[in-house]
Amino acid sequence: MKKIILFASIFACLFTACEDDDNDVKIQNGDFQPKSEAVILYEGSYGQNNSDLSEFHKGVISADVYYQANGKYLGDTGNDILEVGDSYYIAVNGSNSVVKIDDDTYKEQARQVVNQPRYLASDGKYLYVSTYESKVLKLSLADLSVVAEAKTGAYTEGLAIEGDYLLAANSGWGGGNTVSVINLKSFETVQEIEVPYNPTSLMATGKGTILVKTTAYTADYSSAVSTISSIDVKSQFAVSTVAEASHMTLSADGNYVYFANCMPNYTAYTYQTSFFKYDLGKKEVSKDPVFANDSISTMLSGISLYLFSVNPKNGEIFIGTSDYLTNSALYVTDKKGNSWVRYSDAGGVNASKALFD
Amino acid sequence: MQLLVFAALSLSVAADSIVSTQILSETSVEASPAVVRPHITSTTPVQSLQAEAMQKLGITDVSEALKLMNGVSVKDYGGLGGMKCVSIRNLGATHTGVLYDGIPVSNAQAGQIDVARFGSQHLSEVRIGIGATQDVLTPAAVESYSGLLSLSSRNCNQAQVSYGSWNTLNVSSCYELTEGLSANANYRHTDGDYPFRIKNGDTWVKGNRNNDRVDDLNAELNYRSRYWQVKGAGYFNDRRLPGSIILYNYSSHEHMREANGLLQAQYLHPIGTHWKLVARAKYNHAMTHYNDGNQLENDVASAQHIYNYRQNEYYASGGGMGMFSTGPVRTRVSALYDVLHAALHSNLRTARSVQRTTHFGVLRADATYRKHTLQGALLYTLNREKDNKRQAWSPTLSANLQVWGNSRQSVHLRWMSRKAFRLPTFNEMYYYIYGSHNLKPEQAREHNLGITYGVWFEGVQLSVTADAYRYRVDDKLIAFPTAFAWKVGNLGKAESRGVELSMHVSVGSSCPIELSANYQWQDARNLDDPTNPNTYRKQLPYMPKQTANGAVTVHTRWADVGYTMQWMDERYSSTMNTFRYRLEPFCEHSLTLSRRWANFELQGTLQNLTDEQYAVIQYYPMPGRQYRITCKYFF
Repeated sequence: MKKIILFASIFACLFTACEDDDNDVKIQNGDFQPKSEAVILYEGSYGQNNSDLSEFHKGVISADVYYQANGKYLGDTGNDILEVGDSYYIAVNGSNSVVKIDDDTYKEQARQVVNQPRYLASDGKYLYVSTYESKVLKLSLADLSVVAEAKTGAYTEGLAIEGDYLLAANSGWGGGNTVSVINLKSFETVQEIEVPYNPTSLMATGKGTILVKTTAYTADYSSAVSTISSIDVKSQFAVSTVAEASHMTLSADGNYVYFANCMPNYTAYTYQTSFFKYDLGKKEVSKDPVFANDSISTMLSGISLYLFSVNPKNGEIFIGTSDYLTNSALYVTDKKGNSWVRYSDAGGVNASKALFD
Repeated sequence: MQLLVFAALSLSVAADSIVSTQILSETSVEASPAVVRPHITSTTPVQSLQAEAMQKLGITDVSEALKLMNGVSVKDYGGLGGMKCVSIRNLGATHTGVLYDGIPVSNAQAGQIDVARFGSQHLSEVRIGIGATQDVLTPAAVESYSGLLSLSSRNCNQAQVSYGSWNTLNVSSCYELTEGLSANANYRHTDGDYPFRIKNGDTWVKGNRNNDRVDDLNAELNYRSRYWQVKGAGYFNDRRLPGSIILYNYSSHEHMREANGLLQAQYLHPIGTHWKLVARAKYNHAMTHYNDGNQLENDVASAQHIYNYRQNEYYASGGGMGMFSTGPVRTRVSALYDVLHAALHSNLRTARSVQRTTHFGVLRADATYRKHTLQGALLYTLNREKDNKRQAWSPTLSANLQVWGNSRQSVHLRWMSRKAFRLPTFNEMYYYIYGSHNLKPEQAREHNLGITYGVWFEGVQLSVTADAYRYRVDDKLIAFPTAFAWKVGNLGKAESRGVELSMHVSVGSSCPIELSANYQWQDARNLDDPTNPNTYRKQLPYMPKQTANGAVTVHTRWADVGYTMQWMDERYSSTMNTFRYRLEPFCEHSLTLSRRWANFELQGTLQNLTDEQYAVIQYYPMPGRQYRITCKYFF
C-alpha cells in the first residue's frame, strides 16, 4: 500500500498547477491618447483564411469588423486596401478576389474574381489592380466589372499614380528589374523603366516623383537588403537612389518621407530597426529624428516591423509588428514622437496597412 | 482451456518482455489476435495491433491502425492522397522514428514519414512504443526518437480487390514463392473528389475536393531465414495535391510524383547461448518531382515552380549483445554502432547538393530480477555536414516493477526518464531563405510514470494501463520572421503533460469478443515568448485536451464484425486560441462485416457512418460517409 501511495504522490507531482498570467494588452507612457480614427488591414497567414480588418476608434481596437458585419470571412491574404468615396476596396490575394465594402458599416457591396490580385490604385474614376498574371486591370468603382487591362511584366506588385501615368512594379519573383509605365488615357503600357532588381512597393510623393522599393537577396538567400529609388516622372522617368530602407510613409505635411529599415540578425535572432526622415525638398536625409524622444527609437529598435503609416490629418505614427504566426502588436506615437501607446493585439496576423479617416 | 489461456498469456508476455531478444518481425503473435493491446510488463507504454485484428476492422493502411492507439495522433490531410504523418504525444512527426522489418525508415529532407504509403495487408503487426525501446538490439539510429513505430511484414498467400467511394480501387496480393521467399504488391487508385462542407464564418459552404487523383504502386520481395532477413522494395506514386481550402478559390494545381527503391538486409547470429551479433545495411534511393501549378505560368527563371529532389541514403549498423545470469538476476548488455549517410540533390538554388553523415553509438543494459526490470541506455550522436558539427548525448533510464501478483493477475509500476532530440531536416536548413545552416538539434526531456494491471480468468483476459507523462521541449525549431520572409530558428519552448488510460478485454471462446478502449487527457502549452499574451501558455496547435478511441471485434458463426470509433475534443490550429483557429470536436464511427467461405472472403466497410464533417488539419476537410467492398482469396 505504501508503494502505491508513494507512486500516487510522484504521479501527482507531474501535474503542478499551471497558471495563466495575462499580460496587459495596452501599455503607454504618460497620458497620451491617440486621436486617430483608422481601419487596419491584416493579411493573415498564408492558407489560413484569416485576413480581416480591425477598427481603431477612440484609442480602442475592434478586431474582425468585416466578419462581424458580414457573418463570413474576408478570405485568404488581404494584400492591399484603398479608400475611394464611401467604400474600401481590398485585394484578397489567396482568395482571388477584389472586394468592395461600405466604409461605415463594413458590409460587402461587391466581390469580383481576379486571379492573384496584389496591389490597388485609383484616380477617383477607376480602380486599378495589379496581378501576378502579368497585367494590370482597370475596374469599375461601382460594381468592380473589368473595363480594360494593360500588359505588364511578370509578377506585378506595387502601383502608384502620378499625373497621367500609372506605374507598376514588375518584381519577376525577384528576377524582374523594370517598372511599367501605363498611360491612364489609353490604358496601355508605354514605357518600361529599368530599376534595381525585385521592385515591389511604389509610393507617390505628390511632388512629381514616385519612390520604388527594391529588395536584393544575397546569393545563398541568407539575407536581403532593400533600397529605395526615386523615379522622376517629369524628367523622363529618371531613376536615382535615395536610401536603404525596408518601409516608407509620407509625413503629414507631405514634405518628408519617413523611412524605416528593419534588418534581421540571423545568428542572434534579433532585429535592428532604425527610423529616419528624408527631406523631399532638399532631397537629402534630414538631421531631425522621426521620434523626438530617444527612448521611443530605442524601444522600437528591436521590433520586427511590418506596418508603418502616418496619419496625414494629425501626424500620429502607426507602427505594427509581425511574427507571421500570431497577431501583430501596434505602437502609436504622437506626431513628434514624444509619447507612445502599445497595443499587444492589433486584431490579426501581419497587420500591414492603416487607412485614416 | 486453462492451458490455452496460459499459452496465450505466455506469448503475450514474451512479446513485450525485454527478455525477448528477437527482432520484432519474429515476435508477432498471430495466436493472439487482440484489438489494440497495451503491454503491461514493458518499462514504457507499448501498444500493438495484429494482422487478424486489422483485417477484421477493415484497416487498409498503417495510418488507420494508428488512429486506434493511445497517445498517437495522425496528422491527416484528408483523402487517400492526403499526407498522413504520425505524431506521438503530439511532439510532432519529426520526433517519431519508423522501423520497417527492423531497419530505420528515414527521410532526411522532410524528417517525417507518410505512413499511409504502407498498406497493412502484408503486415503481421503495427507497434507503437513510447519512450525507450524494449529490445536491446534495436538500431541505435532510432534511439533518439520520442516514439517508435515498428512495422513487421509477414509471409502470406492471398489476393484481394476492393472498390469503394470516389472510384477508389485497391488491388493487392502476397505470395510465398518458395520457403522463405515471398513477394507482395499493392496498387491503389482514387479519383478522390469527395464532397465536403466547411464553415466560412457563420455559414456552411459546400464544395467538392478537386485535383485529388492518386495512383500508387508498392512492391516488395522478402527473404527470411533463421539468420537473414532481406528486403527489396519499390514504391511509385503519382498524385495531385488538393491543398488547403482557400475560401472563394477552391482551385488547386499542385502535382507530385515519387519513386523510391530500397534494398535492406539484417543478419542476426547467435554465438553460443550468451552472445548474439547483429548487422544491418540499407540503401535507399528516393526521387520526388513537385510541380506547384498554383504558380501562374509566368516564364520567369526566378519563379521556381518545378522542384526535383533526389535522395540517396546509405545505412549500416553493427553490434552485439551478451546475456548473463547471476542467481535470479538476468542481465543483458548490448552495444550498437550505426552510421547513416544522406545526400540530397535538388534543383533548389540553395541546395543543389547537400550531404549529411550521422554516427550513432548506443550502449544498453537491462537487468531482470524475478518480475522486476531495470533498463538503461546511453546514446551518442555525432552529425557532420559542410562546416557544421552537432553532437548530443541522450540518456534513458526506465523500470518496470511488479508490485503485486499471482498466477492470474498482476500489478506493475513503470517509470521512464530520458532526454531525446531530433536533428534539423534538410528543408529546415537549406530551403531558400526559410532554411538556416546553423541550427542546433531540438531537445526534449521526457518523464513517464505508469501503472498496469492484467488479469486472466478462464475465457477472459483484461489489461488496463494508466500512464502520466511530462515533456518539455527546448530549442524548438520554429519560424523566425524577417521583414522579407521567415527563417527557422531554435527559438521555441513547449511543455506538455498528460494522462493516458488504456484497456483491452477479450471474452469468450465460441463467440469471442475483443474490445480496446483508450482515453487521453493532455495539457500542452506554448512557452515561446512570455511577453506575448496572445500565445504564451496557450494550448499548442492541434493538441486536443482530450481524445478517445475504441475498437470491438466480434466473431460469430455467420460473420466477423469490426467496429471502430475515434473522438477528438476541440483544438486550435494556432497558438492563438481564438474562434478563427478552433476546430470542432468530432466523432467518427466505422463498421466492417466479413464473411468467409472456404478460401474466399467478402468484406464490406462503412467508414464515417454518421457522415461527420470534420477536419484534423484546418481547411483540409476529411471525407464523409464512404463504403468499400473487398473480395479476398486465400491460396
